Amino acid sequence: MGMAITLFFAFLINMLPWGNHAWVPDFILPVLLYWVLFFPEKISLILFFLFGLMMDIQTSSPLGLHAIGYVVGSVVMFFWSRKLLTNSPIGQLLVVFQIFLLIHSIVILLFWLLVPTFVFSISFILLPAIIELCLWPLVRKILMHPGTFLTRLKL
Amino acid sequence: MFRSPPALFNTGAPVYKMLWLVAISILLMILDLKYQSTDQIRSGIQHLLHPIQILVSQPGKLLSSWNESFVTMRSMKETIAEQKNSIRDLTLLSSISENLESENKNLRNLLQLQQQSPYPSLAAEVIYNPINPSSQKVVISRGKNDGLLLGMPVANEGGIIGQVVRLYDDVAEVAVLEERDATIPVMVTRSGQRGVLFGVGRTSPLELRFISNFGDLDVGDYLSTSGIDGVFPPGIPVAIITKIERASDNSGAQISCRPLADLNTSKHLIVLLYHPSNDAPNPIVPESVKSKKNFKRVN
Repeated sequence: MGMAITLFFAFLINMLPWGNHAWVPDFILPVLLYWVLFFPEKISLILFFLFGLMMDIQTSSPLGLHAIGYVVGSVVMFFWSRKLLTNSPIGQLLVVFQIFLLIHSIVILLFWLLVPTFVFSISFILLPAIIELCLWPLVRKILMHPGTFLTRLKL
Repeated sequence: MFRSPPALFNTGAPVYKMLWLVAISILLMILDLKYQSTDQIRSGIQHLLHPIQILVSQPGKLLSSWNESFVTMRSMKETIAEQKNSIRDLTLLSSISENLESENKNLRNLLQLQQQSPYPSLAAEVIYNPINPSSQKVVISRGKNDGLLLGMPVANEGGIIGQVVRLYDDVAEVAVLEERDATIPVMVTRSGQRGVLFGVGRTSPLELRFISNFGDLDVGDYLSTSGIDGVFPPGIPVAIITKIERASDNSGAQISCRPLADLNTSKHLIVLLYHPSNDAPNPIVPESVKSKKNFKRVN
């Protein structure tokens, strides 16, 4: 429940009128990876899938595109989560950055495959991933206490 | 006695679940792109998202209205004077155009040409630009319930902005002229030459194609819709020619244009509820062809 609330809040931030720029980050991603990293036994892939579908409709992209990115990215994060908890913060940052890059690459690759008018540029992958990396410590800080609190709520 | 391990040791990743969800997503993408049959799912989720979209767009609107409320007396007086001037000019123009319209109608009657029916228009507001690397779209606050149809042209006070490409109940997506492979048939207002204007992609100039190398064109010529496609009404300004590079061989000139309407910053748009007249007569099939067809079938 706490997961859904925080993801929804991130989705609201995504919905703000940012304008169509390459650098606009996906605010759902740091929140999503936070939950997978610290509460891997509580995650629900179906919830992530549904948020992906909502994101697809919001950004008017082919249905299921962000959904694949979120689901695959969170499972890859899941494999890493046990090792990462004991890692230094910098090692954690590096792995999280890789997964941001992975998710954006999946989305951009699918765009490239499916939409004939798409013109590839590396900035579509790199810029949002870097900004999300900057957001990561902030998200961690914000969610640390509510995170433990919200997961204990059996709603 | 077997027990399932406690959650701490349960490290199995939900790989099967992931595979299922990925398969479902791929299926959805195929249905969406190949068969366009996910409209039900789309409009269902869009219906849920609509109140949130409206809610989220409020802060920006509030901010801009707040900014607007701080104006100096002098600038206000200046704008009022400007507006008075422009209203005077427009009233004059509208009376002239009324006169011209009636004259045009009479002439068309005289020549027995088809009458151009006037079409209504609908004001709409831009809610947001979807963050999408492959296309340049805006989402407007009018939808199927307001009588919009797919393909309807959208304009602002400067000229054509784009075209409705996806419809929901309360909102619609508009593809902007700059979108890659967006096309619009246009006419050079000065010389009456016809061509097709193509979008090339974000922030790059539009391209005028299918026009003769030796055509009567100049930098600064205005382009307006020609109306031969039956989708855009004729005579609406679209773009201005900014650069012409004539090729030495006869492969055609490279003509760059700039849209007249401000595509990305305008907040208020007009949807032209233009129903193309589809009452063109059916092609006349000669009797000989008909009988030949029947003959073939019998054989």
